[in-house]
Amino acid sequence: MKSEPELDSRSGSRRLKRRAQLEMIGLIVIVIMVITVMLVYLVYKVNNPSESIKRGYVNKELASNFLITITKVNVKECPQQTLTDLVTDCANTARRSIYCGGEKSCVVANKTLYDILTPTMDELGKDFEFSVERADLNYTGACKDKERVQAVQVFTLFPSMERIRLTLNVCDAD
Amino acid sequence: MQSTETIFVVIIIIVIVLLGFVFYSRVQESSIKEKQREQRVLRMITLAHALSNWPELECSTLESRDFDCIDRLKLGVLSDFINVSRQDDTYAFKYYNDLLRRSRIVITEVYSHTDKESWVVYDNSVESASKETVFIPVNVFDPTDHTFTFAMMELSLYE
Repeated sequence: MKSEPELDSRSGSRRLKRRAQLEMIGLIVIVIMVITVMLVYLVYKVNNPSESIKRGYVNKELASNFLITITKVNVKECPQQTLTDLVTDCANTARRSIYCGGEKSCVVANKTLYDILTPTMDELGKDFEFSVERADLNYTGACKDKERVQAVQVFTLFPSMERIRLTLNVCDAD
Repeated sequence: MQSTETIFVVIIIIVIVLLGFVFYSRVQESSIKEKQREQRVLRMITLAHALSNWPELECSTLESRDFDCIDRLKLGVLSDFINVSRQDDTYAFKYYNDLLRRSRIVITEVYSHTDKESWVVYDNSVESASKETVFIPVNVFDPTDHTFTFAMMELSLYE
């Protein structure tokens, strides 16, 4: 039969070992927690990149700047008319009077918008859509199911003083 | 034995904390670089918009200024003037160099009822440097026949 001091020293060393094991487990848990936090942070950063100012400008300001500058342009087929003149004539369904190079204002306006926007947006790696209320002027479908930015230009029709909107959507190309 | 274990645990914790600091500083460094780049781009965009308001370039009809509009005749004169000043290394080029630094400004007509033109307004580019480019749509106004064409201003900044 073992003496009491022997039994005490055995159980004491067992307790010490147990404590050491628990400390190691605690350390491993801390390491795992730190690594998990780092991974979660990395995943969050990768999935939610902050939008750069440049991308914000290109996507938001570009559309509105385009509309303002495009509508002032003098048309090739009839340089005395601007795109604004053709768009408003096209939307004025009761009083269409402008013919440009023998073609109706709607046809020339549609062609001009397409001719200006296509090479420019291709260069920038963008797709676009445009449409005009009450007018036979539209090019849609390119930005379907994509995140898009919209710009609107408002025109006033004479003499009815009604307002129509030219809408341009810009999105990233595939 | 116990003190050895404690020392070991403390060392491990210190190593973990140091690793965390290194990781955080790396992330912060890339974040700061990205912010610096964004500030550069913001300055470029501001400069691009300011260019169309320069008296040397702005178009004005009956004293009212046009938005994002550049006078065709002024554009031709200014680009020739800057290019000649650069070749002759005169004060004029130094003046524009102070404003525009290492950059390149090109205006190219995209749609015109006459022949399309392109102007290199300022070119102080560096081949080996990294480049940041912004495109701005502008109108080019011809004061002789009061017509507008559509052009893109390409502003490149070299670092």
